Amino acid sequence: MAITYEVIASQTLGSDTQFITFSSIPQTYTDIVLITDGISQPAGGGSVFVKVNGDTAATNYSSVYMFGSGSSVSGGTGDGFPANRHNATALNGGTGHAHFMNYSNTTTYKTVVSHGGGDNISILFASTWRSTAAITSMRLQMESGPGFLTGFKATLFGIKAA
Amino acid sequence: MATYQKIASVSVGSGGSAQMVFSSIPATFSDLIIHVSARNTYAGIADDILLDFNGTTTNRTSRYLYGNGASTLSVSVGRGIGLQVSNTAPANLFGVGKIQITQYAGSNYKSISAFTVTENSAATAYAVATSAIWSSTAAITSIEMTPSTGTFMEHSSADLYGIKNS
Repeated sequence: MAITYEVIASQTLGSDTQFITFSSIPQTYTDIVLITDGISQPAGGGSVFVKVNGDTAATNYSSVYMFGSGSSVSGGTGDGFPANRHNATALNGGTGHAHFMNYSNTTTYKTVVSHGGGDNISILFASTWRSTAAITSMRLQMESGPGFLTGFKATLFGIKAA
Repeated sequence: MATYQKIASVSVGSGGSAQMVFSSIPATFSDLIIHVSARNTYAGIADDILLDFNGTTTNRTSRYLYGNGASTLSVSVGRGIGLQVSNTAPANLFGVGKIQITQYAGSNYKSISAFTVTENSAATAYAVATSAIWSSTAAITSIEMTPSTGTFMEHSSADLYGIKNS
């Protein structure tokens, strides 16, 4: 039976770091899925922003989001490419799940749909990278603050459609 | 070995069931995913599914972000992980959802994300995005799902999958 859901790469941090990078992403899948779990900074939590193929131009990224705190709902737009969201609380960093659709095609812009949070927030993102290039690498960084703490785990999976 | 493996399945028979339980969960995966389809005996349109671990009902907190077709809301729900269809909804309809628990065997608190929906074609329906934690450093060895009210009805089911990250 064909394997349709495979690990591409996984990283568990042995020390605090500002960036987590996945490079040389194979082009043999239909979609890719990024799962993150762990504690990050800044204090109070923040979103994981993804920079694709070394592209740091803010004008090439846009997003819409909505979140609930358990008592209120809010939303907005931004110029980042957020994937997930994590906290800085000891033992309680949160988890995130980001799905990059049709990442290797060279005819459309790239879209990611994601959900993340912890015990203090549930947040949904829909984001776009305005490039028709295939995604071959991605660099994760927190939207602000120093980054990811020891023990943070990021795993990239590939999903085949056939 | 496949990355995404089925560990166990539960299906509710005639007469219903107070819970759907996965026990003796091996610690050999990185993450767990539950696919659930559920309907309960509560005399309403929809009702919470409570999610607990290792036979305990404490140290659980959740945040719902949900819409009902008319408005968007957020609530804190303790042990709830999402909604199922309940027994005043049209017959033969079940709520469905996906629950993901990352690093379930690790030494941090356990983080959980879930989507559940209760579309029922006739009355108020819900789409719920949940973020939750179990504030325990223990590895998860069993999972208990319980309706907030009443029992799970026949044909409710859940499948547990293990995800390897290497």
